[in-house]
Amino acid sequence: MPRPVVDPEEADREPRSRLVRRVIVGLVVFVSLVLFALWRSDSPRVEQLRMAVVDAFTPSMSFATAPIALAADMMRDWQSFIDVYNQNRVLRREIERLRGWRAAARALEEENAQLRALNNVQLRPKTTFVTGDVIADSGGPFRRSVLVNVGLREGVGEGAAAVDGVGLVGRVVGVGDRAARLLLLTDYASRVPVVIRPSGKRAILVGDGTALPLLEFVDNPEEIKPGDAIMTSGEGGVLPPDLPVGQVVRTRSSGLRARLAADYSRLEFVRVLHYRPETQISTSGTLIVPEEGEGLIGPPAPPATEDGDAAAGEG
Amino acid sequence: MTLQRLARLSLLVLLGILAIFAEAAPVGHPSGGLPSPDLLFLVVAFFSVRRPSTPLMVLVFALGLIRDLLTDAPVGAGALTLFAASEAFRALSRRLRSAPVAAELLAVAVVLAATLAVQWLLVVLTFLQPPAPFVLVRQWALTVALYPLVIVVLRWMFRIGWRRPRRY
Repeated sequence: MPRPVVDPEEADREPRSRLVRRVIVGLVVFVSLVLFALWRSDSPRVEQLRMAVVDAFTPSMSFATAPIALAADMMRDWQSFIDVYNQNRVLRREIERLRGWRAAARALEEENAQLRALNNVQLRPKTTFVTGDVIADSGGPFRRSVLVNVGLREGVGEGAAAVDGVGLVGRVVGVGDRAARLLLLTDYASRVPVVIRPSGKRAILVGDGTALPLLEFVDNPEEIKPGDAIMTSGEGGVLPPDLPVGQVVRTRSSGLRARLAADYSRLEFVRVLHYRPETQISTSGTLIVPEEGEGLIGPPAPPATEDGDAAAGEG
Repeated sequence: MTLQRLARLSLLVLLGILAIFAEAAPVGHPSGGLPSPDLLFLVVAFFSVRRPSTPLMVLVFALGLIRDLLTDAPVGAGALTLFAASEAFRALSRRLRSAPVAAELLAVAVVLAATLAVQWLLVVLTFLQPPAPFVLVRQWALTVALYPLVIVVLRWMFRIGWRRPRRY
């Protein structure tokens, strides 16, 4: 049997390609681990990279995912005819918009009543909103977040609260030019300070991947009843206060949980709120030393000494 | 690089991107429903087994990274495990091509379980709260169940013939 003729160039190429493969494998492993470490350490560069990729894919993504989302919705609403479905979709958008107005009207009515009753009250800054379509969700088992098609161009800021027609959905954790990423209340990393009405007890709403997030750090939990309303407390100044979150439910296995007011199974549109807390201190320095050009308020400063710092320290 | 290989690569990229978009479609998953199946894994598995020369290593990694970034997965972990899975399938491709489809399905199930386990472990080791195991099991089962459908569709799309029994 004749032995196969081996081309010397071919024989030389094989170990070389094997070496190239090994180098690529090493590089891929290294880059992956570096990216993972950066992601884990909450590096803003990873979030910037993520939002740059999202911005690049947003137009094609909304184009490609829309039919899938539509098909899923139609499967849920299979009893409806196509035209009824479309009409329903338009009406839902309209209802969403009107709910926003209703919430604004109620807030204004309440504010008006308070202003009539009180004098010299400082007005709370106006909260405005922008409505966006949900174009993607996280899909995988590790996170609970969604992408919406509003971003910096529409004035969306990091940390902004997002609500549907009924209650809080989550908050913005990444913003691109054309899209923003919302961390949902059910995500493993979500922590939201809340207040439970009517008891006024404070708690932290902790996402654990289930549809019913946990209520933790509650004082005297026996005073809380199932069905009590949960609202945002506004502590920390990230989320506005008094946004409806849900209702308390008590489970045998894990204690107090929240049934969310927001309907995550029909999350098509969300309102992203523009909210600024009442008092904003940009730098701690301006509390003590006024801005350039402004005079000091209070007694005159002591005369400077040669060992100024030491004298000040002793005094 | 031949024109045919270039065409296959382009199709792999297109299918990979479509798979990512399909995974990310907003179909009510955040309400606690079923997680999306790992369609990108299935596409890469199919190509690595049937056409081991088609998926470029860097391309598979890039697709995995894009998926991690778009779907808010742990960045780098998903890409690394997808890459490792592709290499495993490539190493097994000769045996799997001549084996029954059930063996291929079993290999896909085992490798997918390994990739999910590695990601879960990475999350645990870095002190993040991992998802409950049953959530991973549901995604694993859904993905494995879809593989026969992916085989049929991709074979039809690329006109890849059904395997012939091995001749002894």
